[in-house]
Amino acid sequence: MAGSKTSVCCGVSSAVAHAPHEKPGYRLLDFVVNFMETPAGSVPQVRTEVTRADRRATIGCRLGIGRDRYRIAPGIYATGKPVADSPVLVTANYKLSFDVLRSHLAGIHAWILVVETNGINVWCAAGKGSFSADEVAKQVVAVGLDKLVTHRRLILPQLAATGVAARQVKKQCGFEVVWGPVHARDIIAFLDGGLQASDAMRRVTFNLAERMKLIPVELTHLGKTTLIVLPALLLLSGISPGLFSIHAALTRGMLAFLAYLLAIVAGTVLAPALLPWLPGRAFSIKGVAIGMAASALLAIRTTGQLTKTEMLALALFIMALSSYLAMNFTGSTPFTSPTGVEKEMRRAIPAQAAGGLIAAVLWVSAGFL
Amino acid sequence: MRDLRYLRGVTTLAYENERCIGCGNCILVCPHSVFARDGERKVRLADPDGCMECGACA
Ligand code: SF4
Repeated sequence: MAGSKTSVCCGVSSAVAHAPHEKPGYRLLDFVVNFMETPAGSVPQVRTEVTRADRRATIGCRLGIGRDRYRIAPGIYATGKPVADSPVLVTANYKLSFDVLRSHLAGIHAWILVVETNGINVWCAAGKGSFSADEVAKQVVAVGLDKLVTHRRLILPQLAATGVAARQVKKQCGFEVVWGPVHARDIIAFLDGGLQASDAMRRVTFNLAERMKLIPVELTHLGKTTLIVLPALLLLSGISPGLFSIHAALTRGMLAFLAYLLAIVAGTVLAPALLPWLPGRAFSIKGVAIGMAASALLAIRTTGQLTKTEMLALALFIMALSSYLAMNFTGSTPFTSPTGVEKEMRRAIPAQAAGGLIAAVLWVSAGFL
Repeated sequence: MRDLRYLRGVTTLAYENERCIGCGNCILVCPHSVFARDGERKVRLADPDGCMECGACA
């Protein structure tokens, strides 16, 4: 094999493609296709397709894996070949926000100004104060935006308004803020429509798909709790006239654990999914309603295995827990006000705690009947 | 968000008519269409129970 170019140990030497922008010590991000030279320095041009690698990372992120480190470098990026009068779109440095924005910019020549929000999305960052007028002005100055464009206009996502005072941005860097649509999917219509957003583009929605996307993260939060709940249920179930019965712990414990799982499905999966159709305005009430349905299911599936007291105990347990879990979801919706949540929690938590306690007492005493 | 409503009558949102200069920014930034134009130079609270207290209009 001497002389052959395809030697096994050294790889295919001729097939190594030369990466035009590689630099020692750096790794080129796969969404960058090229760099363009501008009066404000070299600017990365990004692709407007979201690749399979991006999508995989998104799924990981939704499951809560590496969620906190999902940030990209703040600064200026480009889609297409923007020029001096191209629009400047501002976004957070949470990669999902950035991915969603660029994926809706196919065929658009624009600048994207990414501000430092510590890898948090636009709305949350605006609420926490990191997506602020100070930060926007700071990035405008840092990238030398006045050298890049001749106009003095920034298009910000509408939801950034919670944190960004438009007047302050103008005062600090001379750029005027124009409020873009809530969703990046409307950005082309917004640009084509002379920077006017329709009423629908200004409104936040919370449809089934949007609600479902939040469920996996809510579920992963429950992992640790379950590790504590399972032994506790086994312990409570085993208490018997003869002090402790391992047999009871296992048989009754498994039924109690089944009730726990049903409560989770009801409160964490079904309550968010069926939100508009469940009765009541308070989420805790919606949680009780769906918990009631879950209890009925348990009663049907376990006929003959449970006494009336036991069934009552488990039904109470399911409703209290499902109510509590559904109420937790108020923290993830775009329409629940903090004052409302506080009012709901003040009333619901004592009721849920009482329900749980009565359920435990009934469950333990049923072991003696 | 017409199909999804939270508790009634709890919002801390307050609109001071005398101080309103009618710039209309609150209409632009509110994600729940809480404000509506009221004549040339003022707005009104069209749907206060829709407010989620995000603070965008403040
Ligand atoms: S606080 Fe937010 S939801 Fe409430 S009126 Fe102002 S912009 Fe609208």
